[in-house]
Formats: sequence, structure tokens, C-alpha cells
Amino acid sequence: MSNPYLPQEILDHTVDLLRDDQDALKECCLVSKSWIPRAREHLFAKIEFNLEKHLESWKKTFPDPSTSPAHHAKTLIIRCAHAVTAADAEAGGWIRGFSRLVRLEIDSPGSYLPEPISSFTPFHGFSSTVKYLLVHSAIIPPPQIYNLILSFPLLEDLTVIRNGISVYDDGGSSGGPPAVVQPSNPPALTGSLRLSLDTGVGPISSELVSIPGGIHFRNITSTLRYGEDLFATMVLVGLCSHTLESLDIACCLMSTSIWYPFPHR
Amino acid sequence: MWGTTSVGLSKATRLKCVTFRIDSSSGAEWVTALLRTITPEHRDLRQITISVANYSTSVILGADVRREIGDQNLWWLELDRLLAKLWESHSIRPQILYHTPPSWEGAMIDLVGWLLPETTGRGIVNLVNA
Repeated sequence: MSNPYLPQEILDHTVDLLRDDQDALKECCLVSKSWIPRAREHLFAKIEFNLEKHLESWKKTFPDPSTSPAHHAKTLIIRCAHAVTAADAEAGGWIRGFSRLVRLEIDSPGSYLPEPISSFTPFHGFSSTVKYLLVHSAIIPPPQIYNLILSFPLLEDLTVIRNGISVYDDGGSSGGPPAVVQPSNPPALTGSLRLSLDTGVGPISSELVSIPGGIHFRNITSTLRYGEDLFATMVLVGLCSHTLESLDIACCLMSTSIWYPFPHR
Repeated sequence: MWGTTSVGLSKATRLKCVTFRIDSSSGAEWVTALLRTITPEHRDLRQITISVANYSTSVILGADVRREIGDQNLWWLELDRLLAKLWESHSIRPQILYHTPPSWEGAMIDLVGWLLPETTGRGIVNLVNA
């Protein structure tokens, strides 16, 4: 079916034009072996593990991590963090197959879980190309998020969302606070920061303040839920004052009054 | 704890746009406090957006929003004066966002007019039903 006179670049370009059409990409794989590599790049560009059964299905289909299409993934969305960490421990570094990620989303609100995840170490720096990190969880203590941030040297954008009932003490997981990672190459954090936590932005802000090399966000979005959140947000604004171009603050107070970090009356 | 102190927005002189989303319990005081820290050095600042979408529910439910706001109205009037001043000093036309079905839009515009009489009266603000 493949025209031997058409150069590979033209065939690749043809497949590229179908990047948003999953069905067409699957059909491309049936046209010719020469179409498969490019079609796979697009088919596996975004991987979502919403449920444990999705993860099981992936592992069953691609039992050997070294030959799986994980390296095509640019975006990885994990909604079953427990299962992924367990799978990684079982397969000895399974997660590292996703070596070319640009966007990592750990979206496991998880307030229903009986206990916190004891370690997020498998996620630490498993893909050195990650530029965007989203952590949406009530089961990851701020110190672990801090270590996660530090482990991605090219990280630019960070979103931390937390809602739901916490199952841990903010001081750390059941095994005590995790050891702080000392990165050789801390992230520049030059993109966008979004914080929305029902426990307040203070704990995660105090972690961000201590990032080696500082933070240099151009956009900050913060949701205030407690009186002291304005102060915590303003500290971040101060640290990014030389780079900050856009600030978006939403007030959804659960406490009665705001603690002003500067005289205003 | 933080090892630093805050001076509001005064040092963030590269700001181009700021957005403040007000809820009915916090009122306008914190927004006024932050906008007071805008200085002549904020030469790039081009957009100030204030969302009052949280008041929409009260308007739709027919609640007496003016009574709910009560004494907080003084902070709205202060914010109104400040926005007018920023229009004169920085040529910034504030944008007021709300989210209301068409049949309630008139009531919402009346409310914004009551909260920000000078800026709405002078046509300084853009009202946007987002």
C-alpha cells in the first residue's frame, strides 16, 4: 500500500496531519509498517491511567517496559497513584519507561483512601524532560510535593490542588517526614504557578520559598481560603517580583477575616 | 517562618494584568488593600479585572445584596475611588466580570452601579457578563 517513491518525510507529515484523530491513526498502523512509528508517536502521546484496571491492561499489553510505547508519551495522567507506585515497585522502575514526558498530572484526590502513600520516590525525576507538573491530591503531604518539584530540573509550570478530607498529618506521611532531596540542578520555575488548597496555601508556599535558586514564575493564580493565605500569596509575589506578569487571586474564605501582610487602613 | 516581609504588589513592577475574584463574605477590602500598593513604577500594568460573579447567585435568588454588604460598602466606595484614580494615573480601564442569565443582567448592572458609582457613572469600567 505504501508508495515506495514517496519519501518517509512525506508519509510522516501525512500521519502528523491526523494527530487528533485516534481512529485514523489506528488505521494508519494497518497501512504499512513504515507508517507505524509515526502513528504510534501520536497514539501514545497522551496516556491516562484513570483506574487500576487501565494500568493492569497496559502492563498486560506491554509486559516489557523497555519495549513498550511509554517513551512516546508526552503527557501522563495518573488517577490511581497507589496502583502506579505499587506497579513500579513490582516491576523495578517501571515508571521510568515514560522517559520523555513534558506534562505529568498526578490527579488522585484520594480522600477515601485508608492511608497515605508512603513514598513518592518512584515519581522523583523519572522523566528529566517534565516541564509541567500538576498534583491534585489530599494524600500527598507538602514535603513530598516539594521533593517531587525538586526532582524535575526543567520544570516550569506547577499546579497544586487539594480538596477533600486529609488522611494524614501535614508534617509527613505515616513513616514520618520524607528526607529532603538536595538537587544538583533545581528547577527554574519560570512559567505558571496555580495553588488551590482547602488546607490553605501556607504549607506549600513555605516549601516553595525554600527552593534552591528561588522561584521565577511569570503567572501566579492563588485561591485564598484562610485569613493568612493572602500573606502566603504575597510572599510568593515578592519572590517573583522581577518576573511576575500576571496575578489572579480568588477569595473563597472559610475563615472570617483576612490577615493583611501590610498596613492598609 | 517566611524570612521575608510583604509589601503588597509594590515590587512586582512587571505586572501586566491582575485579576481579583471577590466573594460575598470577604468583600472589597483586600482588593483595595492590594491596589493601593500599585505605584507609578507599574508602567506595564494594562488590565485590572474584578470578578463579582459570586454575587450573581444572591441576585438571582432575589436576596437583598445591598443589606448583606452593609458596612462593607465603604470598602467598595474606596475601591471605586481607587479605580478612578488608577484610570487617571495609569489609563487602566478596569473590567468588572459577572455571570448572570440575561433576565437578571439588569439587576446585576444596578448592583455594580451601586458598588462602584463613580467609575460606572463616568463610563470608566467595562462590564462583562462572562
